[in-house]
Amino acid sequence: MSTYEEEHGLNDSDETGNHRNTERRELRNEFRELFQAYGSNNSRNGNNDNVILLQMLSELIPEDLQQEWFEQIDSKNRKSCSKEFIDSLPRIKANSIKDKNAECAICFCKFLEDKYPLVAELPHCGHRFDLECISVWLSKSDTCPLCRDSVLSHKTDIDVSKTEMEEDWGMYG
Amino acid sequence: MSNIRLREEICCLYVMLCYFQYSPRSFRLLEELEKGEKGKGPESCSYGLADGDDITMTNWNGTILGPPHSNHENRIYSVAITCGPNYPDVPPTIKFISKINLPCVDDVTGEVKASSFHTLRDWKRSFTMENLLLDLRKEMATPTNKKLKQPAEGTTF
Amino acid sequence: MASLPKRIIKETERLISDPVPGITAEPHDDNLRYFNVTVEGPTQSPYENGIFKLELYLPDDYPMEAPKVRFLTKIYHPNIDRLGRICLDVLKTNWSPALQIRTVLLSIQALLASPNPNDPLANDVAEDWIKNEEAAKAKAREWTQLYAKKVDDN
Repeated sequence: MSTYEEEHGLNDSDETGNHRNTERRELRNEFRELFQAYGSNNSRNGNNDNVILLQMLSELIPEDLQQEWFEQIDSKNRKSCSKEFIDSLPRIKANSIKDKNAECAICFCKFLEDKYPLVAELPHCGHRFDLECISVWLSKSDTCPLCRDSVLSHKTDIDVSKTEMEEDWGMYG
Repeated sequence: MSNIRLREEICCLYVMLCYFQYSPRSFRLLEELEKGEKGKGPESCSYGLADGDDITMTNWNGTILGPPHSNHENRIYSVAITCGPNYPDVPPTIKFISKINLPCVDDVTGEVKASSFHTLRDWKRSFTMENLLLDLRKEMATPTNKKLKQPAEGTTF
Repeated sequence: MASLPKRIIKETERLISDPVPGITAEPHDDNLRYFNVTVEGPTQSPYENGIFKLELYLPDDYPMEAPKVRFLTKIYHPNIDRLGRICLDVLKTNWSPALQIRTVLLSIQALLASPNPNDPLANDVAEDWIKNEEAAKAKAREWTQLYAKKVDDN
């Protein structure tokens, strides 16, 4: 099964129409990392050096790219889920998926089309998606695609013991 | 012989695939319009639709603020931009309304000559009207062009 | 190079095999992310008996990002501007990747049935609508007759 990244060419860097976009994205990520590494107050370097470095960097980046990038950060701060949250979503074992035809509402693929599906369940509403798909969405938003509830508002702590139980149940069930 | 045919066909397919996911003309122009409307772009140039009712979004007005430390300083130049049916695969045409003395501008019609202006000559699909206006502004500021004697302010082609 | 995601292929197939009544959506031959769309005006609305042409484009990030949709037929509606741009929450902030081309077009049809002049995109139209709803509806009917009449367009 192909992943969201593969289908959208996010990892591609060949000389095609998508090249410029990929390049932009990569450049943006690189700059973001630089800003994060050197821009924080906790960094070991003196604060003044950071400011100068940031100024130099910002002169290198075209204005529109900077803007796009800040907008991205803004929207990120407004509503999205942390990587930790996404990584901690409970996984569902293939043999606990009862409905053979159950499909991911994001990619429209049947979960069981894949021999070893990676399916995640949102803790507050129980809606299930391919881990891959829901990860991309939750990195942009904090709502469930199906019921639109905020996934963060109900349960922020995930009960790990329950997840493990469910997995065991899946194995022996 | 058949090998050449095959290669040709692969090339065609490749080109088609490249164009596959490109934003169609209208949505690309709407994006540019939104950027221009919201004043998100740089202050040194502006652009908008000439006719707000024209759903083909063909004719545009633009302004360029003359670059500092040049004979263009403090002048505002009006231009007319035409985005044809194949924009942005082909560059738009752009014509100065305000009179200007610049090597790449036809001194009778005010039209920017594609052959002598690199942004039009080496046009890429990713270029926008904003790129075009900013590059023209840079053109006004080159060491040779910034000293060119300019027609009286307020005159038009 | 990214190929066309399976989801888009599936959606296109379903649009053809199981079409929505009153709505058509067909991809362009040379760009399978770009659709020609027609939407019939809902009955008992000022747009009744009109056929409205739209264009729809699925951006690279679809379905993480909403489709881009625009009316090509002139229409008098408080939430649709002179360039055919549509003010509809699901196309902007309320987009969800579980929505589809089908649901988006149904939402647009619903917007024709119930205009929302309090959240306008076309301000002058919205003002007319609030000031004198009957007159505004009459004008919408008139525009439907003028620009959106059913014709054979082979």
